[in-house]
Amino acid sequence: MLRRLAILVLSLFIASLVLFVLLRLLPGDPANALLSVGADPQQIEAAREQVGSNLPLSEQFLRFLGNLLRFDLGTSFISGAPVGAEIAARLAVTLPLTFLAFALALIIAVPLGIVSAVKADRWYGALISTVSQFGIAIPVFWVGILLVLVFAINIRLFPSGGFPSRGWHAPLEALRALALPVLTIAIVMSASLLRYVRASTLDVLGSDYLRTARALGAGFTEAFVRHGIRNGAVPVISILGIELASAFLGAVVVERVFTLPGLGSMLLLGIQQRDYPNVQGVLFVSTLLVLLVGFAADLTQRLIDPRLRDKARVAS
Amino acid sequence: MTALLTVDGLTLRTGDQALVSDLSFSLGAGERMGLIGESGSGKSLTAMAVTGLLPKSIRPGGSVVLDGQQVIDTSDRALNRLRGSSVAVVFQEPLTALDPLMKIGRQVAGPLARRLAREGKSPAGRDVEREVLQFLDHVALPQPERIANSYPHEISGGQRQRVAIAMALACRPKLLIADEPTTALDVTTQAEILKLLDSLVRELDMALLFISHDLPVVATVVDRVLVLRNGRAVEEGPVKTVFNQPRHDYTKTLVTAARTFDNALEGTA
Amino acid sequence: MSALDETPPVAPAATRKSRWSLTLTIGLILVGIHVAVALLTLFWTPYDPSATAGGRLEPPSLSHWVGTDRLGRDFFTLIMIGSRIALVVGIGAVAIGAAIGVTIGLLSAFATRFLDDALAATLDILIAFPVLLLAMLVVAASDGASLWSAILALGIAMSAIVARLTRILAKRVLQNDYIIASRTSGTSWPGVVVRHVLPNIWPTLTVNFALQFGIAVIAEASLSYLGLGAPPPNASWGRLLQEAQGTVYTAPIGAIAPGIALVTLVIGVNMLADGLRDIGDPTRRVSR
Repeated sequence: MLRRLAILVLSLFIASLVLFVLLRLLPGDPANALLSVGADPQQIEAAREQVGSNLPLSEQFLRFLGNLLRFDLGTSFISGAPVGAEIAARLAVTLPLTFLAFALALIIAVPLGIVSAVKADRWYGALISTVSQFGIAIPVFWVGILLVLVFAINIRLFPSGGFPSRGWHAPLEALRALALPVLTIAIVMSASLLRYVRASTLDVLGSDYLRTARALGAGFTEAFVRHGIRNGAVPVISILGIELASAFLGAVVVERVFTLPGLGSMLLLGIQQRDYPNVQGVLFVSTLLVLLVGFAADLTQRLIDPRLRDKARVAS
Repeated sequence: MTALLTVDGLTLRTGDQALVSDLSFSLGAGERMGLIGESGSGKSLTAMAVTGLLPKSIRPGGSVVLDGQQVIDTSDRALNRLRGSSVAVVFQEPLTALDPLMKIGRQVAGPLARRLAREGKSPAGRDVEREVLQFLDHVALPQPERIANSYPHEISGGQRQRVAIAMALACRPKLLIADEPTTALDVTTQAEILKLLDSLVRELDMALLFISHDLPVVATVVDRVLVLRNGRAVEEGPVKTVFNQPRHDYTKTLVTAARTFDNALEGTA
Repeated sequence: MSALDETPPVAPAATRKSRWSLTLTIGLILVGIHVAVALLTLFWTPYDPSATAGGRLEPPSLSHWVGTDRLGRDFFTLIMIGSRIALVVGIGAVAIGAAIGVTIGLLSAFATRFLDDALAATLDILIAFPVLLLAMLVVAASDGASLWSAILALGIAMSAIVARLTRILAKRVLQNDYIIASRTSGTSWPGVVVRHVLPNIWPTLTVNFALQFGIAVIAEASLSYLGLGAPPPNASWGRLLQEAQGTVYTAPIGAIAPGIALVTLVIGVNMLADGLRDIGDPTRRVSR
């Protein structure tokens, strides 16, 4: 448990190091973003001073880390606004989007995945798994465009993009604005999730303990509920962290499709404008979220599987 | 008196390949019979056919009547009543045969609660718990409370197999099928488990269908054997006769192999 | 990964047999069409991709099968060129990812315990960064987003996944007794790699490469869609979709056709790999 926490902190440290190095590897001085064309050397030096890019790299990294510990993500080169506040504001769009999509994907994928494995010999079981194969071959933004075509243009059920300017103070409007984006991400995500659920269920169906339960008189449903669900959940939980990361990434792209003012559009804008503090901040916060989800997934797994608990005990 | 189990012309095929062909035998109440053959001879599949739990890809033909009920092509619902009450199985691999995520006590309680419900008793939690401990004690597990509170990976292979036997006993079946129950165990544990099975089957007056590739192992617990090869019965008879005067060449090689092995063991000891 | 193996435990031999060849056939046809079209565009396209070939946003007609874009360019021509771009992206990224990934994975598998653990931990963290995100950074950094920077970025991002898989597979092979036997009989480590490890892990790697091919094509399309790709006439399907989205009310076909092209290619490659795996791996053929 403590060990896992240490790993979390270590991963976060390595992740921030990777981020830092990646961003410094990029060509061009970030100070350039502050400058207009034809700035004189004095201006350049002032800009470098302001950005901190005149310091040695190690010192820059330490400063970055120190600021992180104080939850200070710096200020935007372009707007001068604090990065943390901007991220918080945009998380109000991206977090609901990601988690609603994630939840919807689970609601779609878990039952369908189980059915497609249990009924693998029926036509609908085969159909479900075939359709899910298509899911991993479709880019998320195209699904978004198709949904816009169907639901926003043809039957005009949902808006094709945008977010109410009053945000969540207009909750119904906001939810309506998120409907298609959520559906878009959920469709693509449930396809890959379904394949994991299906594979895991197939493993359970072939397991000896299920056969034991059946041979001692348990009906299929009874045996599956009693033994199958928990055993099948363990491997699926371990990939939920990765799935949530991909949902988040889906959000980056989907926010563009539906012009939502979320973290993804902030990242994209930051990249286009070379606004490194913004890019760095967004990536750091999203890495933090992904790692936290992985941590939570690990703990849940341990709660379910006593073998993992014992392994951890022996190791620490 | 009609037999407890009558297998008549049983054929198991997958695709166009026959795994078991035209197999017939019967087993009376309280009778003990061994089914021997090398791996792939169809002996385990035959056992699964008796319980009606064949993999979907295998198509059964012929007839299997267990406790007056036809098993072949019978609905799963009807067979659920048969399994547990008429037949219970102990499998080969005691580690994977138990649910790794469930404490032993709860696992034994599963079949036990089903039987109590079947017998019309309302299984109150306390009683089930007490009876679970009795069963664990019955299969000679030390410290039943500790075992009941353990997960499968926390106890030894021999202990796991005892738990599996306790679960089967908790059903109070008329027929116990033991599918290579000692193959995954070391020789000492093997002997203990065999002794336990032998005494329990006598004590509870169950019929036993013992499946093994190992002739000497079978000989210690059954009266009669049926030798299977490539899905066909090659020889059937009392253990002593088959062991001492094997008629079929295949049985002879099995016997010789077992003897050679024994001699080799004695030679080194 | 065995827990996530896709093969059902027991399936009727007969139906499985017919399913593979069908999978393989469809995969071959889909990939074949794209390869043929891509090769064709090197010599001939229906219209000049950079020139106005008709009116703006014309609907599909006999002369323009999927209409024209907002500049009047023939959409079918642009989609055909997209095939070539996608194949180059997929093959290029997989080649780079495979070269780096397999090397690192093998090194890790053969390395001392400490180095191996360190590499494994690093790979685990790198994998937490989605491929597309890494590629976005790299592409954004290199001025004037070119196709090659995208390919390089995708290949590097992919190499972490390939390395991790290679490491796991190679370690599994190295546990076998015949490796020890081979070593004691004097085979060098490189000899072990060439003779035992690579042949054993190659089938699984190939299937993974096919998967990565699809991921790379989709990721590049996403990059282009986000405006980080090359503009027409050498645009990928993602860029075409992005431009067509703006005119989706008046010319919906442009927002559909490139997507279909992309999906057929990715599915085709996946099916081809699945089909080849089932033929190449005898353990999957036998149903006990």
